[in-house]
Formats: sequence, C-alpha cells, structure tokens
Amino acid sequence: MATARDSGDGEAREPEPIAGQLGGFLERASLPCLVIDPEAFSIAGANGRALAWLGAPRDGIEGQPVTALFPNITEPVWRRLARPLLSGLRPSVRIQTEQLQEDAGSRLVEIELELFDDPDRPLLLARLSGATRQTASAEALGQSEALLRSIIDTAPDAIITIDASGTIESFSPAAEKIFGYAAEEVIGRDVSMLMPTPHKVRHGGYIERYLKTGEKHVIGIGRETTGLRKNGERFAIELAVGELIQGGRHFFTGFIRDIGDRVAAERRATELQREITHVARLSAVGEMSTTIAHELNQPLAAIANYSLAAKNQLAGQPPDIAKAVGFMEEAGEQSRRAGEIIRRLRSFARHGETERRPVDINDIVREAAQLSLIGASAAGVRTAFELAEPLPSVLADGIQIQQVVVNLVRNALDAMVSDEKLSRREIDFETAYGTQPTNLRVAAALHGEDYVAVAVHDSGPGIDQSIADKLFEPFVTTKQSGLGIGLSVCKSIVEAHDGRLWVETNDMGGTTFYFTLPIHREDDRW
Amino acid sequence: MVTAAAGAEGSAAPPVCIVDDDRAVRESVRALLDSAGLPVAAFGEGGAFLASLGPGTAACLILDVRLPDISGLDVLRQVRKSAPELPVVMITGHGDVPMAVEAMRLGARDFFEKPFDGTALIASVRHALEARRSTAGAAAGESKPASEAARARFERLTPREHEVLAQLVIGYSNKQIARHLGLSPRTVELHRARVMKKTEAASLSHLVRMAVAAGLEPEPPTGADTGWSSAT
Repeated sequence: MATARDSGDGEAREPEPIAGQLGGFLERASLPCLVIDPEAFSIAGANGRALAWLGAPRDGIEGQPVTALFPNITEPVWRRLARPLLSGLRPSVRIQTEQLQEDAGSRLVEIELELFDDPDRPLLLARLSGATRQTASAEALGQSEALLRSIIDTAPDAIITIDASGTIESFSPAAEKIFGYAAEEVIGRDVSMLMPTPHKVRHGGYIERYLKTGEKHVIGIGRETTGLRKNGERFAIELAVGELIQGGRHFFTGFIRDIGDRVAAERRATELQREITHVARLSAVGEMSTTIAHELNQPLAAIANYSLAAKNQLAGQPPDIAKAVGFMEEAGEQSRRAGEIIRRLRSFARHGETERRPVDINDIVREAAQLSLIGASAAGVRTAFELAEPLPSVLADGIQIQQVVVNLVRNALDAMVSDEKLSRREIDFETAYGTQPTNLRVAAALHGEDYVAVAVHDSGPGIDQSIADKLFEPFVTTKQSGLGIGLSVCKSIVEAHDGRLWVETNDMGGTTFYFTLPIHREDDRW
Repeated sequence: MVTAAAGAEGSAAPPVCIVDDDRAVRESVRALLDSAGLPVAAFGEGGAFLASLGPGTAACLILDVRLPDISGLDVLRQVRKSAPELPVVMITGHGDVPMAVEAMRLGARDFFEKPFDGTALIASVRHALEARRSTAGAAAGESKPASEAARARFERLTPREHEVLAQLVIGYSNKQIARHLGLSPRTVELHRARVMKKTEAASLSHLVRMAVAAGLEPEPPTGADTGWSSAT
C-alpha cells in the first residue's frame, strides 16, 4: 500500500560499513534501513542510505532511542509492535508515522519492521520509505492506532480482544499483570483459559447464543464474575464487553478490573460489623447480668424450698405423700422456668451466622420482651403490648432484630427506673382485658403499605437535648455502665435491613423509639 | 393474696408472714414453713401486708427487699414504727446485698440471699420466735452480751482487715472492694477469708449482724437512705 520513494541523495556522505553479516546485508539493501535493539529500543545501526535519507551522521544516530527519531511512537508501542515478531507470530509489521527533520519540519515515513535473526541476539530491522501525502488518511490511522495503543498499554484495566470463535487477538500489559500470562502465551488461544469452570466450558456457547439471537447478557451491561489466573487462583473481576464488526467479522473487547481486593475488603467489613453486633449483644447481656442472676435465683430458691418441704412431708409422722408429690411437681416446674431463662439468654448471646429468613415480627417482639422485661414488674413497670395480628412477615435476621428490641426496651426501663419520681407515671391504656394503667408500651403494626413498625413508648424523663443529636453515635451514653454502642448498633442493624430507626417524644412525656422493616413479599428476590 | 395456713402450734398462734411478689418463692416458702409445722400467711405485696398488720396478726415477718409497690425497706421502716417488736428476716435476690445490709441497720434480724438454705431459714425464724417469747419484746435484752462478744472478735482484726470488713458489711463485692482499696481481687478474697475466720462468722449475714451488734457504724453506700439511728 505504501509507495516507496527513491532515495535520491544517497551519495551526499560516505557511510562507514557495519561489521558482520548484518553489516553486509544492510549495505546491500536497496532501502534505507535501521537496526533496532528490541530490548532498549535504541538504534543499533543504520545503512548508508538511511543516514543519507535521514540526513544524520552515523555517530549522531547510533545509540539514540528510536523515539528521538519518531516522536509519535512511544516505547510501549514499539514493544507491542515488536512482540509478535519476536515470538514468531507474524513475519512483519508496518506502521506509518511522522519523522522529525532538522529545519524542514516533519515528513511521513512508512516503517516495515521485521526480525533479523542475528546468531548472537535478536535484532529488529526497520525498512524506511517515504509515504506520499495521498496516504495521509493512512497516516492519521497510524497516529490514532498509536494513540489507541498507548491508551491500551497504560490503562489500569485489562483489555483483551477476541474474535467470534473466542480466540484471543490481543492482550494488554494490564491483562498480563492481572492474569499472570505474557501476551504471547495467550494470543491465538481460546479465551476460556482465563475463566474458571463453569464459564470455561460455557463461554463458547455464550458467544454463539449472542451471535444467533443478538440478546445481550454482558455486552454493554457489565457484570461481576470470576477470573482465573495463570497460577490457578480464582479472583473476582468486573467485566465489561464491547463489540466491533470489521470487514464482516465480529470482535469483542473485554475490559476487566481485578476487584478481588474490594470484594475482600467488603467481606472484612461485613465480618467486622457482625463482630461488633455480637459484642453489643454480649454487652447488653452483661448489663442485664445482675437482673438475670436475680431472676434465676427466684426459681432456684423455690426449687430448694419445695425440695426441703417435700422431704419434711415425707419424714413426717405420718408422711404426707400427696403434699410431697405436689411440692416435687412445683420444683420441677421451677427448674423448667430456670431453664427457659437460660435458653433465651443463650440463643440471644449466640454467635450466629447472619441469616435472613421470613420471620413474624410479633414473635420476635414477644421473645425479646421476655428477655428484656426480666425484673421489670418487680421494679414497678407495667407493660402493655399492642401487637397487630397478623402482620406480614419481614425478611430479617431474627436474633439481630431481637437485639434491637431488647436494647430499646432496656433503655426504656433504665430511663424509667433511674428517675425515681417519674417512674410511676401511668396512663390508662385500653387492652383486650379492659383498661389498665401502664407506663411502658410495646407496639407492632403496619406502617404504610410496605413496612411494619415497632414502637417502644416509655414514661421516663425524656431525652436531654444535649444528647439528643448524638443519640445514635457510638460511645455516647448517659448510663453509668455500658459501652454506649447499643443504639448505634441498633441503627446499623435496622438500616442493614433497609429499615429506619428514629425517636420521638410521646404523650406520656417520655420517649418513643420507632423502627421499621420492609415487608417480605414472596416474589422478592433474595 | 392473703391466705393463712392452719398452724400446728395451735390455731390461736399468729402466723409467720411471708411477703414476696414472686409467686413461686412465696408459695415455696409457705410450703417449707408449713412442712416445719409453722403457721403461715403469704402476701404478694407490701401494702397488703401492712394493711393486715395489727396486734397478734404476725409472729415473724419474712420480707423480700424488692417489691413492686413499696420497697421492702419502706415496709420495714413502717413495721419498725407500728410493730417494733416484730422480728423481720429479709430475703434478697442477686445484687441486693447493700439493701439487705441497710435493712440490718434498720433493725432486721437476719438476711438470706436467694437461693437460700431452707433449714437455716427455719432455724432463724424459730430463733426469732423464741427470742421474742423469752424476752417479751425487749429486743435490747440480748444485745448487750452479744455486742461485747462481737466487739472482742473484731479486735482480732488487723487495720487492713478492718478496712475490708467495713466495705463488706456495706454490701460491696470483692471486686468493688479491690477497686476502692487499690488491691487485687485475689488479695481481697484472702482478707475476706481471714475476717470470716477470725470473727467466726458463718455467713455474710452473720458478719453483718455481728457488726451491727458491735456498734460498728460504717458509712452507708451512696444513694442509700439514712435511718441508721433506728438500729439499736
């Protein structure tokens, strides 16, 4: 396609011959030729025609980087041009570019590169010819190709092109870095080698399906999937695919980002969040430990008393067997009561996997209340439940939501009991069993069409304005003991469930904490 | 709530009263005392008991410190005013020891931490009933020699052991004492064991009783009501 121009001014200088086999070859060549060192990409030699044609002295050229002669082609581009030659994949490559000339601006040059098999080391032979201005569009192409190559070579994402059969056409330096293969190891092979099963075996089918149906599953959409490194390691990637049709042939370009670090960081963050949540739960248990021990001692005391009473009855003259049996039954009942307290506590403090499943919020509220209201009635707290039945289920980690309810109820109790004077404020409350005075209300109901809401109303002194703004920040507390992470953890739990947690003042003069959770619908994807 | 059991010691004998809001504890104490042949009346609330209180209605009171309506200490204060001769035995749950100690200062005879030894409770109640019968209401009658014996026992303690004792009888835990005195909990444990041994105290309640008898007047824990003066 390029038209060689006769180098007319060959006799202007007497060139020194290059030694050896290459030297002889160069001097016999009819075109201006340069020898390029494919490692340093410097000029290793030039024939007389080349020196004359370029208008440069031999010692002004040898050892110079090729980029000094052809500024539009960067070293990485030279490397890419040389690679298929060095690996024997192609016999020659051509490129057009500008050549700087002293005083005369620049001219268009066509360079044909091929491998010169020197016995000592590989060298590149560059034949130069002038390109006519008629091929200016070809020059522009060469320039844009050079530009494209420099983009591809410096892009942080791996760029891989394949043809419609899945054969790799190009493999960018970032791809080499990410996958661990050199380009020449993969060019010409099937792209499935970069994928773990099952994609490995299915990929051909993916392309076929697309070419047949035109349905795009990845092209222009992008997805997160898995790649396979040379060392066999699987890693998370983000893949975007572009399509190109040239001369009736399909090519696909894959842009691949290694997101292994990001995925691992996300996993660590999730893990950490779970740990904090568990620590908060243990802390809540710790804060309740005195109350729980107190509560456990009630059935234990009763068991001891009933046992001794039964023994006394049996030792009596005459022994009262019926009474003794009755006391033993009572003792058994009390041991079940103690066991139930332990069971609740254990299941609450359990270090469980976070597991979301459809649950009934009323069940969670009841279970949490059993745990958190231990000792409350002895402190004068009268609790009423307003649980709308039935409520649609929510998709949640039951233990975590229980943790939120336990925290809110314990906070309510602490607020009411620490404030001696206000703790006995009661309002009449309509229940299914008639009007009852209460000072703590726990409610669950529908909230709009898409949520259920849980509310904990207390009759404590309310929240001091100085702390109201920082209420949900970690390590903020008004309590003597406790970590101050309860509410902040509650908020993250609720928000992780796509709900909301907030606080209001209520008609008892106290505080109401609300939280919402989205209703789980059967057709939800999860 | 009020149910009097027919007593084996004669229907005329006033019952031992139990006030506890926990039904199982209340009923089990009733069963226990009943099996020991003592007449019992059980109450779920302090107010109900106080309302029932009159001449000859109670021989002894077993009182839980934590009650939903009025606190056990308030019930005790009222009893000291309206029926000073009525012996009161406190029962406490976990973490209520400071309140029990306060009750001892207010004039309670004894206290038991739940879960407690039923035989010891019965013995304590019988002892109270006998003391009441023999001294006919003169509570101070037995305190004179008792206080001297107790004082003699406390004289065996080192200054450090006295410090630990002072904190113990307020109701502080080993951990709290360690923090207050700048000692390790292990050291406090050793001091505590030595205090118990030297004073021949069988239990913490026994120790507190002796301290009250000896006239040791430790500062009440912060937040507790005053009322120390009535402990005689």
